[in-house]
Amino acid sequence: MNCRGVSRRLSAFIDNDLSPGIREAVEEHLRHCVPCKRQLTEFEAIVTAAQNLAPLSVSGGFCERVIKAVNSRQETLEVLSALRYRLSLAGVAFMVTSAAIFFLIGPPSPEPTMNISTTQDSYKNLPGNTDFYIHPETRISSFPVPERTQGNLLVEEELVPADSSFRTDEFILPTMENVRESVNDKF
Amino acid sequence: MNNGAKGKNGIKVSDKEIMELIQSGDEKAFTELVTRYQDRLLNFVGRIVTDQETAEELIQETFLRIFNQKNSYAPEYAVSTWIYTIALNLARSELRKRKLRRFLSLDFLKEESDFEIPDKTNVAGEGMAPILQKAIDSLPEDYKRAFILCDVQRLPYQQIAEILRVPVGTVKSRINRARAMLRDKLKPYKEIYYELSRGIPQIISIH
Repeated sequence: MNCRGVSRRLSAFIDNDLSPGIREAVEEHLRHCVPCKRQLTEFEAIVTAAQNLAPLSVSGGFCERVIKAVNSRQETLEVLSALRYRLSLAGVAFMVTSAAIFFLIGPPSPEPTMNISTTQDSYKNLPGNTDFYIHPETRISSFPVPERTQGNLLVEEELVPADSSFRTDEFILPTMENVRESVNDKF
Repeated sequence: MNNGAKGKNGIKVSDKEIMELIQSGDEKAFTELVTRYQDRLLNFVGRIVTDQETAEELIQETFLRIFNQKNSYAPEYAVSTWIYTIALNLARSELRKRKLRRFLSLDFLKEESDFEIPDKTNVAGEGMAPILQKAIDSLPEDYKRAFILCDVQRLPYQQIAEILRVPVGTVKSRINRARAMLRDKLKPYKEIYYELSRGIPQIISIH
């Protein structure tokens, strides 16, 4: 065995943890190798010095403090355990009551929903043309007319036939000339 | 180890028997376990966290956990292995907290205070033990734990492997490396630690 092998096994040699064959080989090497023998002596001195360190001792009353702490911790655990038991009981009672109320009263009725149809859909319900139109019996005066333009408008009580020229997508407000042209075309 | 301490009637009670008594609700058995392990744990945890007050707090918490988790002890392992594992986990947790605090306070920017060689004249007055302890403190954590469990606690390799949860080969390698590192650190005091190794008792205290 070479010096490296011995150096690696020196601690196990000191602690008597080598198999008999390897121990014998290490002993054989140590008999003639001075540096390895010196290293062994130094290791042994370190080990003995560490073992001779005066042992540390706990401060007075340590054991009593530990017992007291254990008892105190036990009491705390018991209180927590009791509290947890009560809390779980309260939880179960709450759930049972909630379930009973639910089955007795029944589920809440659904909120009435407002069925709002789009403006486009409401036009489809109108009789006749699917496009927006002014009904023949609609009075022109029913349009909101600003006061200052009122003088140019058609005379009240005059009927206006349904015509494409009155579509609101083209005219916001029929003028006097539009209405007159329309009447002349018809009659 | 001390698995054969005497009970109240002078009959030797093993650690496993004590654990069985604790599991059956015997409070006196728990007191016996605390008495049996308090100093051993202090010599382990105290040398890892290097602060006696913190070490005692951690040991107290270790015993609290032992009591609260007494039914989770698996009899196929030695009681001491189980106890050391709990204590080591708490010590590791404490070291992690310290590391985080050190990081948050930006202390890590300061230079790490590695093992400094004190003046030889002071060694004669204070003794070699504080220097050896300081040298042990300066070891990397993995090597330090293995060294303390082996050379201070005198546990066998197999048990150290179980406590540290590493293979036995790794334990052997760490112990060998730790001893070599200590030898290098303490080279200037070779003659003095030879004296120490001859059995002259040295008083040591941790801060």
